[in-house]
Amino acid sequence: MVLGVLAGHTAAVAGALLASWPYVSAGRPLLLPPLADAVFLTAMTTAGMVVGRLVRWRLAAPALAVCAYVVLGFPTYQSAAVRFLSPAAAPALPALPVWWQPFAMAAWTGGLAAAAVVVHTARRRRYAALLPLAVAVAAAVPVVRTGAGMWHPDPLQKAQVCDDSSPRVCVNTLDRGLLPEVSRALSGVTGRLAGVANVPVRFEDLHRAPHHDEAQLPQLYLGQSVVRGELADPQRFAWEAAAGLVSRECDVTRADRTDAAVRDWLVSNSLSRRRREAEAARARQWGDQAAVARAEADARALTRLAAMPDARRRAWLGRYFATAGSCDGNGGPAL
Amino acid sequence: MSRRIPAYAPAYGYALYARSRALPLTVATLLGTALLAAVCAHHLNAYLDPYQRVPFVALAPMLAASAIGTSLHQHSPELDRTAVRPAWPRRLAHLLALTALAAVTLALAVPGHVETFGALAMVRNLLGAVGIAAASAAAIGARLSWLPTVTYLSAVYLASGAASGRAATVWAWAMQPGPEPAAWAPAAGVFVTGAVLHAVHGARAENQRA
Repeated sequence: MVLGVLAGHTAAVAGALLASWPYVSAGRPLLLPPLADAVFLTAMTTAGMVVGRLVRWRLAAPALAVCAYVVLGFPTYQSAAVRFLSPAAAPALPALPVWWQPFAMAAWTGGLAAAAVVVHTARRRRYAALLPLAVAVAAAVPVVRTGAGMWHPDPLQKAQVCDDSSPRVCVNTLDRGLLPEVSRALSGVTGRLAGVANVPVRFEDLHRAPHHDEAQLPQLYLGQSVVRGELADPQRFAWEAAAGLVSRECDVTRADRTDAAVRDWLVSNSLSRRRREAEAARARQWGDQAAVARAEADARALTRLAAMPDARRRAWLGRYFATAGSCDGNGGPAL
Repeated sequence: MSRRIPAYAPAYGYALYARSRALPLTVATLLGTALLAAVCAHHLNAYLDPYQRVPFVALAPMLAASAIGTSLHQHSPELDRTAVRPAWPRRLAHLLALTALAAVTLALAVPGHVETFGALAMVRNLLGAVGIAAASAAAIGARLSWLPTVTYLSAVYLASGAASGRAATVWAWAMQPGPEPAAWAPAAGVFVTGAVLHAVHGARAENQRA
């Protein structure tokens, strides 16, 4: 039984590693966490067999499975460090565990299961179960005391590689394989910003807030915005990057129209066009005259910006980006 | 004496039938599942954010269907085959009654927000899960009938984060918010198939070790 579960786990781990192999850009596979998971699966299987021998009920197995799901899942909703005793708890961001974390988790789960087995099978000397129990508790103490400190960001995430567009497009070295893809997705935006004064020097994706002359690259979230080594939706990625350039921390209502016009002109793809058309259609459908008028004025602002001669538009964008993102003043030049 | 037997034999027969299939324990399990779901819904503040209910809208029907599926076992299938009266009405009534009980109690366990992982999704998932369990009982026996249900629904639950598009509405029917016809069709289809298979064939005979 245990061997079957372990074979299944090995096959799943190997399959997952092989399936993601072609899309790896940096770093190396971690071997210890899957081994700790194998210990955990062995412990759960053994504990399940002990319960099955104690409870002779046809529904014992599925009921135990659901209970195990609840017991493992419940701590992940908590914020206290105790949640890291559940193997299902993980840090929010991609990060590397400290070297002893897999060992501690293996000792914790394995110790509990070994204690249960000893109590169930030993006819004499049941107190021998105290030994694995002590091991489990000893392993649990550093886990709870260290908490979220058991994970640290990958050193590769602290360095970046950039292309030679202007502004530069940079990704952290963990995602360096994605740079050509990201660079191509943003080529429209960077091409329209070339030669404009006061724009950010680069788009960055390090684990820190962007400096004042930098802009934040939209999130590269593996499995969501990045699928099989490619951006799932390059148009959306470009739209998010441009939206980040013109966003303000506060509500400067009089600048909304200019911000949206600059954003949509920088993006100029079918996604931004569809978004505008959908908004106007929604306003017409609801019969909201104010919203219809607003959508039409927004469209006129975008047309004016697009119709400017290149040199004049560059100068205007330079004045716009001098105050872009700021909360004071009158929101920059109007359209 | 021989005249009296027909007067109370039917009720006596139903009681024996219920006892031979451990129905009281099954009913208690179904009620317990609904109670557990209601308690979880309350503690996760699901009345504020209906999306908090996704885990137990996926899990509670799974457990209820497992209970119903394992209750379909028949200790002596030869009795069914040699009986004067056909067995299928009883099998069907057994399945439908337990499903109806589970559907009502589980639907009551998630009050409010009917169309976002609420009562609609709960009933749809229960129908689909019971269908899988009943079909499995006919194919591999009642004792392990919970295994395909749990495997399929947990796999869909874990994979649903990446699932989108028209095809996903069909194969991930258990993870749709509620009223989508494309998700109801497979669930209802599975239920009808499972109910017919079980009513016609009964649970497959298993070794007596269980």
